[in-house]
Amino acid sequence: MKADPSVTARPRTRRAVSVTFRYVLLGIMAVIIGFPIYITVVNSLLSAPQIAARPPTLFPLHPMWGSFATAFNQAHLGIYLRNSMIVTVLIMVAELLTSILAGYAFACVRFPFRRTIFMLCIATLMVPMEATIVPNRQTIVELGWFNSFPALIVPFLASGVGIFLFRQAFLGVPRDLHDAARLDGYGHFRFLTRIAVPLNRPLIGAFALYAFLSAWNQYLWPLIVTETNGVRTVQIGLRQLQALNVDQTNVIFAGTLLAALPIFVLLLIFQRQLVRGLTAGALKG
Amino acid sequence: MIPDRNRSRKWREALLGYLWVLPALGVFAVFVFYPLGKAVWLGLYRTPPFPNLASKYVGASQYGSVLSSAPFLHSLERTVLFVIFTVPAGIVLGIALAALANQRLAGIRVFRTVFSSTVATSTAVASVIFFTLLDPQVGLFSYWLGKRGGTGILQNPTLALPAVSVVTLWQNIGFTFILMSAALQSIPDELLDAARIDGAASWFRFRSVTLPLLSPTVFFAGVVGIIGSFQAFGQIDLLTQGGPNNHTLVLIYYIYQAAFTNNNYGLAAVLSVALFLILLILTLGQFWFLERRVFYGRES
Amino acid sequence: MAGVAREFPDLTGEAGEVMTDQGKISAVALDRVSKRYGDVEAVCDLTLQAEPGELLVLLGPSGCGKSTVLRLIAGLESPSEGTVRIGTQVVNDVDPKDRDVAMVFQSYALYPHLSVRRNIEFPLRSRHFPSNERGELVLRVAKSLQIEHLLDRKPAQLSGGQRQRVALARAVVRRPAVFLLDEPLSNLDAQLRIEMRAELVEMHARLRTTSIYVTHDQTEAITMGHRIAVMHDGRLQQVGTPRAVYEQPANAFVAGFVGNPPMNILPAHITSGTANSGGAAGVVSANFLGGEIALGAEHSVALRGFSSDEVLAGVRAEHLSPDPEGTIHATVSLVEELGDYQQLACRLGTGQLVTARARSGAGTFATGDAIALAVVGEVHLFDPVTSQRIGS
Ligand SMILES: Nc1ncnc2c1ncn2[C@@H]1O[C@H](COP(=O)(O)OP(=O)(O)O)[C@@H](O)[C@H]1O
Ligand SMILES: [Mg+2]
Repeated sequence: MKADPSVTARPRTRRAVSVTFRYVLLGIMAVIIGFPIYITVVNSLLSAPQIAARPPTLFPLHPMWGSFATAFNQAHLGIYLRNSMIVTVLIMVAELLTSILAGYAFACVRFPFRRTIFMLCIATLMVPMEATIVPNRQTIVELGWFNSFPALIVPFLASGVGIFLFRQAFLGVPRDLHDAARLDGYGHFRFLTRIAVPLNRPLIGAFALYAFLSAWNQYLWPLIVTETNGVRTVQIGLRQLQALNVDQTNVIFAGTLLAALPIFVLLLIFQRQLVRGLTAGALKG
Repeated sequence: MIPDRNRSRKWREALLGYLWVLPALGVFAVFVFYPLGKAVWLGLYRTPPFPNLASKYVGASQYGSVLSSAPFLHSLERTVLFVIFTVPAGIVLGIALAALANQRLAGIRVFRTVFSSTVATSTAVASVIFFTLLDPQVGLFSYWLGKRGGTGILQNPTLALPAVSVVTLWQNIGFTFILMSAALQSIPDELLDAARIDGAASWFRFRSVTLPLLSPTVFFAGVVGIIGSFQAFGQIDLLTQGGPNNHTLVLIYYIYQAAFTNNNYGLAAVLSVALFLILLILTLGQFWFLERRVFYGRES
Repeated sequence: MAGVAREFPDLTGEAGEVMTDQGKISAVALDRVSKRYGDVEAVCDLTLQAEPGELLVLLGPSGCGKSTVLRLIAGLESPSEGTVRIGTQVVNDVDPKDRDVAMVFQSYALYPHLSVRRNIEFPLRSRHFPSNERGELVLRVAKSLQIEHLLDRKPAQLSGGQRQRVALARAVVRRPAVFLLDEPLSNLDAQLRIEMRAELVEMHARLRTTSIYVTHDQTEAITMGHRIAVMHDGRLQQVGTPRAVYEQPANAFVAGFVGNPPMNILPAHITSGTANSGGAAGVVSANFLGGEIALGAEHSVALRGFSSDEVLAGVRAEHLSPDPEGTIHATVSLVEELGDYQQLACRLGTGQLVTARARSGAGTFATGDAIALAVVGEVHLFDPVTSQRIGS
């Protein structure tokens, strides 16, 4: 009752063919998607004339690291990165604080008009920042904050997304835990800091990542409220960098890598929060 | 005595509540609600053609004239085209990549890393890289596309918007890929196993089981993508600045130009209100749709 | 005892397939099959056959490899070694959809986006049945499982028991040659589980499709299976009729796993009746449970080939009863009233717990009573090293 070998052999080869086919497809897509970053790395290690030479160099046999130093110092990437870091970290921390406090208040503290005020906060999700830039810039000018860190930070000290997410999370903390903590003499503040926050650490991580990424990648707002290198963020710095001469293309490429590096490292560290962090804006998530 | 103590405790609690929502509320008041109202109000005033003249109250007429004007309709058309170029292709590509990378093959992690790598870039990073690669003099892509010297792709009226769209697509693909991969992995293996035993060939399985189960995520990606494309500013500013010949002058860039290049605040305000209303409708539509249809899997 | 419940079609020669008026009925045979996931050996050198038309139950604790066996038969996994045969064909490289098997999953695996009707129809659609035939088949199977009023609902709108029926309907609708069920009742409440057990057995009697039924519940196995295959750690322990497995467990694991309450298995020391211990041949006695007991003459022969005096002895609760003459002294620590008899958990002088039964005629007992127990039925002996049964 041995099976005819040809019957069993055919699927084997067919499987091998299909596996090869999949690798080919994967390879093509990887080259298309990966190439821009790859060539950026390569070009950052070449000299400007080498970059312009044809046929192009696709592999740097004698890498030169000098363009990174030039980008960091002469092209001010160092300052831009510092500014971005200051602005982003402050926004992230402040958003976490205001969102956790407000989210907790909306979930667990009783006060008149709680629902109405909460609806107001949620309504902010419907107002994109892009629709209010004109009056907001006037406000900043009137406050005397034009071209300063407060202009970059203060408008983002609160987040409708964060309030919504944390309210949901705190509503999910079991009633029994509240009661048990009350019996132990815990007030709201101690319950929040000792129980509610530690219980929701994954969400806090995901939201922190989301807040960091959104703040770091801002472009339009920093563009219209800054005008000197001392306060420019790195995204706007890239705009300055792009204007560099063709004899400095290697510096341009090196600069974009420097600008992307912090986020790259961050994403590597926070891989587990990545999906939730990236989709935190999706209020159903 | 006791009712009094109770009441004072209630007030203390309420006070704490107000105190904790106050910071957020204050920021929203100053930077969301006030400017929104002010934008509507600014739209009622016509900005004079020369600086230092007083703005003139024209009532709702400015809304009517701007929203029916050729430049506004042009910018709207450009925006919708941009959405059409970026969103559907992004989703299809994202699903295809996720399906391709969601297999048990040796070395698949490398491919996954490459496919998700563009999340580490920002709009500005992506734009500057592509701008340099598309430079008509030294750009590698210009060379490969046979466009060396002469007008570059970004300076070509027909090619500029597609080029900006490709850059946007590339920059978003990492996000879409990660989103779709997570959704694919959340489909229970047993369902696909059941379909295999039930006799479904791989394409039928994909179409009749995988794709319907992905639909909430597809819908989410669609809405996020459309809203994102309406707000896309950085790539326009860095790649084409609305040009050539206004061919990439999308709504948001039109607002920016009106306000900060031409100082026409009245016009910018009207356009801002229009943008707000469009996005509002999209967002409300999203909520409505999510409530209704997509979450079939949940018990209720 | 052999050949219990063998009313299904007789095998002629080695055909492995029988045609009935219902369609094709195939045997399933695994020959020296192993499956490894990296370092984990989920299934190890398994040889097992399900005869055409048989209801074979795979029984074992969670994680012992039962699901893996089903997945190997279904073709969702391919074996690391060995061959899988369905009917007369070696199917190692045959795609699941071409194996003519159907499977019911523990979680039911209903397609959440499709209505009940479309779920049941799915295997027909993917096999391109014409639509009028589809509708008729779905209706017929829905009627037989009493779910025709649910056809237009989505799975999320069904109760657990209803989902179970839909999953069954989807599996039987196209009359597969082999029917695989992976713990199909484990998500149901106790009452429903007993009902569905009966229904499944009735359905099998009607369809006569070769079925392999996986469960970790020994009661389910004993009540449903024509034969039971007990697995442990990826290895087959014993195959046989429920009665054979219960009455002659092949090793200490099977003895302890099959039966409720589990068999009392404790070390015993042979004191006389064997070559080593001296005494009259034919009468074996042992020190067991702290008392001296006599073992049946049948053990004398078996123990002759056994080199040590240390064995594992097992006795079922119904074979251990209070008896004023008994040699085993214990204290009652828990009494369970079970109608005809009392089930007693008894603490021995050595601190170990054993379960015994007292017929209602034999007096009543209460917690704390000091009693004497006697072995009133068969004692099973196992090799303490290999844990294999000694003797027949
Ligand atoms: N895909 C897999 N990868 C790695 N290990 C697996 C996989 N499937 C099953 N196993 C392992 O194989 C063993 C048997 O699993 P399974 O067949 O599911 O057991 P059962 O169904 O009897 O509970 C378990 O130890 C399990 O962890
Ligand atoms: Mg299992």
